[in-house]
Amino acid sequence: MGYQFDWGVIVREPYWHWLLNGFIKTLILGSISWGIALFLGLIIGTIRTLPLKLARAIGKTYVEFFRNIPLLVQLFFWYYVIPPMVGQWFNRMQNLPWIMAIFGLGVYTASRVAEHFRSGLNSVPKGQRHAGLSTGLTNFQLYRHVIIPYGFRLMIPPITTEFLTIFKNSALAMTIGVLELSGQSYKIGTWTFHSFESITAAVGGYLIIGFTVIVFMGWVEKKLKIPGLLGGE
Amino acid sequence: MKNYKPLLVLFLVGILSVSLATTAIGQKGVIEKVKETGVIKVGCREAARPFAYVNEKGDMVGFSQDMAFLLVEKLEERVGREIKVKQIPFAGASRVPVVAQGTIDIEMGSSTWTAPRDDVLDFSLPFFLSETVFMVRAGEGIDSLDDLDGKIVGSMRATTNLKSLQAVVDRGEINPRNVVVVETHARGFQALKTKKVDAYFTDTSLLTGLKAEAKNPEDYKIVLESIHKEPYGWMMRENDSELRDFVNNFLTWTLTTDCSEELDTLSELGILDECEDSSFTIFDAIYDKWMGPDTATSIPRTPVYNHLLQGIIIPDIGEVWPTKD
Repeated sequence: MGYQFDWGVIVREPYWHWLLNGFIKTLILGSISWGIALFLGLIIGTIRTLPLKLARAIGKTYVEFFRNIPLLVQLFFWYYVIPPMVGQWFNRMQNLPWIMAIFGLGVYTASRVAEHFRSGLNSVPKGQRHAGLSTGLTNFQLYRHVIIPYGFRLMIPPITTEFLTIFKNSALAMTIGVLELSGQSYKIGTWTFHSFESITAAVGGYLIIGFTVIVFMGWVEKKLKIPGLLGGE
Repeated sequence: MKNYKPLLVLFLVGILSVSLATTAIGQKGVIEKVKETGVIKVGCREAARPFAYVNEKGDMVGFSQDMAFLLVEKLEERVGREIKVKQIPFAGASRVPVVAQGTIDIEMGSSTWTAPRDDVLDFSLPFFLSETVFMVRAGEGIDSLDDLDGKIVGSMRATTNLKSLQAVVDRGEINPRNVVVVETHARGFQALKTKKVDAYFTDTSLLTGLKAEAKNPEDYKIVLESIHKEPYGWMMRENDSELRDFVNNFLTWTLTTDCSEELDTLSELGILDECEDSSFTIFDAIYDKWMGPDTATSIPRTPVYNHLLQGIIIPDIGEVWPTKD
């Protein structure tokens, strides 16, 4: 006969705890990287719309560099190439895979977030910009009070996608030795040879995270709606 | 909020159909199938030198692949028609599902025979005995397992080597500072080179291969103190007795037949030189081609291994081999 399914491996000890541990690690990995991505992405995306040539060039370089290299290659680069250059104390640090996975995922996603920010900010009607400047706002005030609040709301749908994607991309962290949800499910596969079951459990885990993100972002979108604008009542 | 119920139902139906589909396969034996279709799907590892790997020219070669070539020759005699070999590359981590699902008919690489794997698959008799040992950078004073206290050790994800390494660490037999998990053997070797790890654990044969490919092989040392012994078998789908018998008979045949009796076939594999030694069997010749003393991946045959090989020879296969039908 073919393959015998044994769904019990998902709930048996110690495998259940491995999965739970992986699930939590995926959550932490995705969330911290998301914090980095959002923060960096906001800065980079904003400077790409500034009327300053040098700032725009820096922003563009960053985006093109990180967006055009596969994430897997970037992770290998951060984990294998950079640490020996920094020094052996760093190269041999215990939590290095963790640190590099969070960092790598964060700076990569930042480049994508920055693009969404930029297009969001650019799609704020020119008239708003001109109106702001003609009322005597400085560039900073213009961004702070007019363009960012306006543009940010336009960006919520694409940002939701990136938020989802960062959890999905976090699976690549397993290739540098971080045992997150996928890593743990593969590990269970090696230990028990029931990888169909353990990978299905991982699928379930990702679905839970994905739905939570969608519901959360839907709530955020609703909360931030300005009546009379962008489909608000 | 949208209604996600249809999605959920679709998902469950998906899982169910996968389960049904995988249990439905496997009714028909591989030999019967090959007789009908004239095609056999042989699995090949991409980087398990010297057993099965992709060489500089991009061909899938190795000890087990040579054996596969001979096996198919014999299978052609058995089914009475020409057989096309489809070499299908697969990753080590997915080897059990691809065989269990029937993506490949027989896996001929370097897979350890383990009880959990045997629950879902069948193994041929063991053709090799590997030991999990470790490689270190030469001249750093690591000569035994005891010297690993406080060092960083590493192994590859989804291997039995990592499992046994973690077991000896958990039992406190060695006390390293950290266990690093890498994605491929090449990365593991790179980690050893850049001092990310101090000792890299895997099979003797694979370490010999890694060392041979290094720029300066003398910079590395393989410490032959094993944490685990592993018999290798070729993997087939569960309960295909006809195929398994055939493969085991084939193994006996290679172990008992003189090299000189099959010169035509062996010359196709480029192993005539090895046959000059008149005492060589077919098995010896192929072993020598890939793991003999003159090769880059030389693995000396230990007494234990030789006894194992002598022990698995099935007596009197003449009557059922190779023309039984």
